[in-house]
Amino acid sequence: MTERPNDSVDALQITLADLATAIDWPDTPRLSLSVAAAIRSSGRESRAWRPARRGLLLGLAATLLLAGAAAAIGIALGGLRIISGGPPPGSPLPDALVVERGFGERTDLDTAARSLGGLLVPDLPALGEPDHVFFDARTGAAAMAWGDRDGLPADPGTGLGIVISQFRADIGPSTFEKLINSGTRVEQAVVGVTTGYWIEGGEHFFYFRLADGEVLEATIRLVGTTLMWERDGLTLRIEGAPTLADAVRIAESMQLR
Amino acid sequence: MEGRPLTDRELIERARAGELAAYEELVRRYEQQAFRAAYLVCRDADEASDAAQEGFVRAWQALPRFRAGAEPRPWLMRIVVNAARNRRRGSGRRAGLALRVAQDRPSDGAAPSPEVAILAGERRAELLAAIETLPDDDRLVLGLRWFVELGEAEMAEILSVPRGTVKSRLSRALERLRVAMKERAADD
Repeated sequence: MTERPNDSVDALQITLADLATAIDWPDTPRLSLSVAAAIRSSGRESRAWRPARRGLLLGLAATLLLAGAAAAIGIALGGLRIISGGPPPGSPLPDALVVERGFGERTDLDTAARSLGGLLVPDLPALGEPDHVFFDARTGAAAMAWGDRDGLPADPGTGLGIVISQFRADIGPSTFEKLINSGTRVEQAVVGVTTGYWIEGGEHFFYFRLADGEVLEATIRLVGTTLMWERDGLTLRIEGAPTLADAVRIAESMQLR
Repeated sequence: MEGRPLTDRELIERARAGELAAYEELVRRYEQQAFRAAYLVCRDADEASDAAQEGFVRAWQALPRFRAGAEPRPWLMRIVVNAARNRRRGSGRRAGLALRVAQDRPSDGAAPSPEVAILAGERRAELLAAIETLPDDDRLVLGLRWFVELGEAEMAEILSVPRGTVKSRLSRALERLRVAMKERAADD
């Protein structure tokens, strides 16, 4: 029998449509009730949302103004943040390690935020303020590092627990080819409403492309896990989180300053 | 109060203004499709339920980033499907047969003869079994298209790929399904 492919596909589609009417689906749970209850229990039900883009721009402008004013009169905004709680800073990071891992110059959050044109910082009590903040003028990348925290243990060799890096660049398609070729496991992961990448295993490395098109190889700060995603024009990566859930929790708490 | 049901866009605008009841109504409209889409990914009813709930809560939290004027349904479904995919990866296991054909399903029309009903049931079960042999991605696109009854444009948004990619994935999945069915027929 001769068979034309299109006829066969059409017949198959009809069969699939017929099958759809006969599928024995599990009962749909009353999600509207459970979702509303979950939102109420989180205490966020009465929050009024601002339009995202406008809110972001206003927030960024306000942050820059506040940071600028603070710098002008010599007040450390970090002092205000300490009141909100958080664990004490970890041990000092040796200068040799700072150079070896390519962190850049030591700085503070407000200066890094000004240098980068906005900095995303985790708002998570378990993490608190970063113990170390860096800015690398060559690559335009900021980095924040935390030492040992409850549930987020530091690497005993370096004293580094979590390291978050961010820069204005896109990830670029060659990035993950390189990672995959090097045998590292890469999975897509959801961060907020964007797709990111969860990278596990071995000493992975990657490239990123600056706004002017220059491609740089990024220096890895911690061997282990990396969550990488893009938000607000920044490419971010969290290194050292024990699990994807930990990394996503940190990522989704981040607020622009 | 308007004398007509609110549109999805009206509901999501109210939700963006903080009105939880509006969001609850939006979830009610799409909870079945969302749950079924999550079920196609998770292949377990409890996991799918948790994933769908997680997705809808995430979407509530992400309302500030919803693009004004966009269609809410594919946006919501995308977040739910992504939550389901994360759960599936996290579980690290491949669940067993997810979909089944209902037996002795009552018909609105004239009941078929027992012989016809058995033949139809066998044909459907055979098709489902062939679908189960396909890779996850193939099963998902076929399931979203024919079992959750989503259009290609919505699927493109849900899967975060261009519409042309949805077309080509569907085409490839159908082709592999045809091959799988022929192989099963040859084995019998």
